[in-house]
Amino acid sequence: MSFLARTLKPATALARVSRLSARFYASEAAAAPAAGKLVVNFALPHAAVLKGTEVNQVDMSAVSGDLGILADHVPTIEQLKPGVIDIIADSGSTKYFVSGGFAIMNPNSVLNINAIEAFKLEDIDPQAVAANLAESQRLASSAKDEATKEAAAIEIELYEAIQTALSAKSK
Amino acid sequence: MSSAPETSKHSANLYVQIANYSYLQYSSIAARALRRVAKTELQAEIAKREGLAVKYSKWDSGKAGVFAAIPIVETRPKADN
Repeated sequence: MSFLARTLKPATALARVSRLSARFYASEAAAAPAAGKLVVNFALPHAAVLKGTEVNQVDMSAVSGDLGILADHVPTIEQLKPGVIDIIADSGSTKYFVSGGFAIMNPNSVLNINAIEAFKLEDIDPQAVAANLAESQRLASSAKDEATKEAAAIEIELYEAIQTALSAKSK
Repeated sequence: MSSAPETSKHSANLYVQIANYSYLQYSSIAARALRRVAKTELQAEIAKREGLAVKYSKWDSGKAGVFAAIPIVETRPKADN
């Protein structure tokens, strides 16, 4: 009986090891992009903006600073500020404004971007931005409770970032 | 969760300066603010996914409590939201 247990034990241990080695990171499952290209997955809770799209460069505004990502960038995780994500492909550049989120650069030139809300820059109404900025500024100075003031400050930060992005675009 | 790290000197990031909000609340407020300024023709589409947000519940001895949306402050009158 004890002989049987001794011979069976290494076999099950081996089986466990081989099962583990069959696992891989999600990033490794994606197909490797062409040389010099970056694969972008850009997801919102309600839509996939980009899925496995090959691009040349992605510029973004992160908490640690503005950065441009090319193929073979070092793996990193960046927290995004409310700001522009510029997706530069052979066909031209597409600018999205995101409300904040995370960008995860994987070791194999796959970039995953997650945000709660994103719109193309041309889908944003400049008049609505100006009106909402004024309203949030009024609220920031007139609100009595700290929570409302801080919510207004978050909105002001976002609306000012949109205005900067829109004025940079029109130049 | 509700208080910002006191040691942070990251003035570039508004989130860490804000004491009253968690990251989920901060990002929900930012997302709501961005939704407001989308062009009028997109607003119908946006209204359709209302309620598609994170909900949380406090678990106590293996049982879920009431599921509620992340509480965020109203900064506009209900009508024009």
